[in-house]
Amino acid sequence: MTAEGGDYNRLLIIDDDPALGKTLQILLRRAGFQVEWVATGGEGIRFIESRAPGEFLTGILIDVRLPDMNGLEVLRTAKKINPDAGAIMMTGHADLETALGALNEGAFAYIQKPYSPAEVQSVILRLAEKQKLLHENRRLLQKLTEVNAELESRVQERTKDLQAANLKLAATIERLQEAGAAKSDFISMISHELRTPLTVMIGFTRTCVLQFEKLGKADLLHYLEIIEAQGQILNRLIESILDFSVIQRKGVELRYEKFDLQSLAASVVEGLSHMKDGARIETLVPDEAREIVSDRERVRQILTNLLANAVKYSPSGKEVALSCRRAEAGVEISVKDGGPGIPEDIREKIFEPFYRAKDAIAMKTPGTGLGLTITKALVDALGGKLGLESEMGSGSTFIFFCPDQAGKLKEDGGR
Amino acid sequence: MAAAKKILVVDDEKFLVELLAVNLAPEGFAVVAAPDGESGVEKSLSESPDLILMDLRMPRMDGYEACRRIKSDPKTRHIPVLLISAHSQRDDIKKGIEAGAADYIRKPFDVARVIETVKKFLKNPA
Repeated sequence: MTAEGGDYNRLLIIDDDPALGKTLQILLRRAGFQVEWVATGGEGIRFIESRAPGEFLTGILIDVRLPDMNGLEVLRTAKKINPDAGAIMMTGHADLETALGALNEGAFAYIQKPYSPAEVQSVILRLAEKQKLLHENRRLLQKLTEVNAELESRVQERTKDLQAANLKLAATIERLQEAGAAKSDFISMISHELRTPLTVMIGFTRTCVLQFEKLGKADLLHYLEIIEAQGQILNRLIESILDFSVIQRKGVELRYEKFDLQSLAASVVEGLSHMKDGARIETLVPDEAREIVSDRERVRQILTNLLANAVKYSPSGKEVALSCRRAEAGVEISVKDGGPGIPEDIREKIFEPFYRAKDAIAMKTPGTGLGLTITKALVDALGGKLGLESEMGSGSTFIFFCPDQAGKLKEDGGR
Repeated sequence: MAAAKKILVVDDEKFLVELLAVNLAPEGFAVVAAPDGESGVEKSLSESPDLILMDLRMPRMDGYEACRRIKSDPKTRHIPVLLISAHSQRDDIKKGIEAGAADYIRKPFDVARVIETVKKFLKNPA
């Protein structure tokens, strides 16, 4: 159906008098209408039914007296099939009452036989006008409904966006609160971590003073060694707190240079050799992965932290392995430990400041909860990535992708 | 002379245990140690100590919980428990006292004061 122009001219005549029907058909065709004529109510209804749903039918001219059924019945049925169809009843004198009844049933008008062509034309033109308006209204209503629906869906979309934004906000607030809580946890934890070695130091110093006369040389030496070791622990703690606060405040300053990963790894391993008896560090740096441009000291810090962690969490006798392989645009450095593994639900948390795994606290593995946070910040600063693979019971592997910054070195004029 | 009073030190920090031991022993106390809350509770039964010195932050079971358990067992309820912790906020102390602790010792502590406190509670068990 096309509602626009020229389509408000389809008519159907239902009249059993062929002379009348045909005459009217010819008359109306001349006036520019498309006119079908059928002789019985049944045919008329079949014709109306056969129209595609929604196809427009401007008017049906129905003879009140039809051989097979009453014109009023035809009208009712036609209205049921196509409520928009305009109906004009054609009636003789005797059927005036029926014709008036038809108006009550929704007919547009009636024409009394014998009719004048001019009268018929004028009624049909009025009908066409009315149908056009009706259809136009329909169309506008439809459009309005569509616009409303679109508006509705846009409102819904917006609401959804808003809800998503709200959720995000809530999550952000929660994260901030968590970070705040973590920070105050940190202060309380730091006070604990600092006070424990302090308590031991002060306690043993006081013991030396109190028992000075009675103490044997061996005991005295032993206490002094404890005091010294605890002092070292304190020093390391303070260093990592400082490192962390510098990174937080100023970010990381970088100096790129070309260096040999093999010799850097060897010197890192050397530096860690005092840590624990029994934990061996195997290093594997194949030739193709030896040379890289990055910040040597930052990479050293990262490797030191990762390896120190690996050694710390690996039981004595287990092996820690550092291996490198050339990757696209950089080198991938893996540090595998023989530790207990990291449960899946905390794998992201361990990079958060001050987070320490319950097991680590339980095992009293010394730490500030800053090592991995510092490491991650350094990796990020180098433009790298830090990944973690872990299986409970068979250790964890931290994978550090170190991008080769040879390009940056040229840009910076070899600084 | 009565048998030496026995003190159970529950702490996972071995140097702190050693520190307490080397200071309590010359005063005539027998010292036994447990490395975590859980074994602290066990030893409070098996060792029948006269007093317990207990760290708060410990693996497996913290000092509060261990203290609560010791205080809820009729066989160990009478043993005074002194909590030791770096956490010295009012809330921490309150939580300790609520758990049934007789007193609260702050880190870093003075060993001479700890001995005094121990002696005080052994004379007048809480």
